[in-house]
Amino acid sequence: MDLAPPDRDPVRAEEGDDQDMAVFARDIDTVGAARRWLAAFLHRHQLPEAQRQDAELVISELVTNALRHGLGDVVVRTSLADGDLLQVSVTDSGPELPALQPVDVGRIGGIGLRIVDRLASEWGVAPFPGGKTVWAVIVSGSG
Amino acid sequence: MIATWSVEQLADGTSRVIVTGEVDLAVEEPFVAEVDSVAAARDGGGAVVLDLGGVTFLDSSGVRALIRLRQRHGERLRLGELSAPVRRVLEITGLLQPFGAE
Repeated sequence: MDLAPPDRDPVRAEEGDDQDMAVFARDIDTVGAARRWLAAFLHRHQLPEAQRQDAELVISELVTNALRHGLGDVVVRTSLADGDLLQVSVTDSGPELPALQPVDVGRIGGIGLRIVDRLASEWGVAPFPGGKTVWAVIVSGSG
Repeated sequence: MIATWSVEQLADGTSRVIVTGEVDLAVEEPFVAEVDSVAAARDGGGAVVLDLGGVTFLDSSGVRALIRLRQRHGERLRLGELSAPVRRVLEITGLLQPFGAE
């Protein structure tokens, strides 16, 4: 079986030297599209392979959470500071704030955030009136 | 890119589902449905082995798919080959041992 949807373009995208942003529509294919969008940034900055893989996993989890639990368009941002301090963030318009759950093998919810917690050197949630941003920092070799 | 799969029926009654590509939210539902139908076709008999050696990316949606399938099909559902990205995510989520992977 071949699902092979056309790759989804962002609704809007802006590219800076050390930071990019893009807006994606709410769509099941947005997880892969955001991952490939981030991969282009990581490639441009020639970050180490392990850090790239971690970052692609983290953004997939954050976008997946925004699609499963959030509302509205999904805004993704990434920036690089000090050469290797990589930050990614995902903003949506939903009021529900993610929180780490106790480990319970077999429970279906909360797996994505546990992965983020393991891969990110720090992460957090910034609520604002009308939505929230979930951000994570992925340093080289933080895994 | 996004995951594709094929199914092999072995002489001993085992069904082998060979998956390649990326497993995320877009793949979870169709993949669970496919493995369900493979398991149903053998009507209670024969192992269903998921060969994930060609999976280049797997996130929590892939993990959810595996948990859901395991809950439905129990020990009939087994993991075959695992690529490095799959193994890593199963380790992080504590599922490598529960799934009986080595």
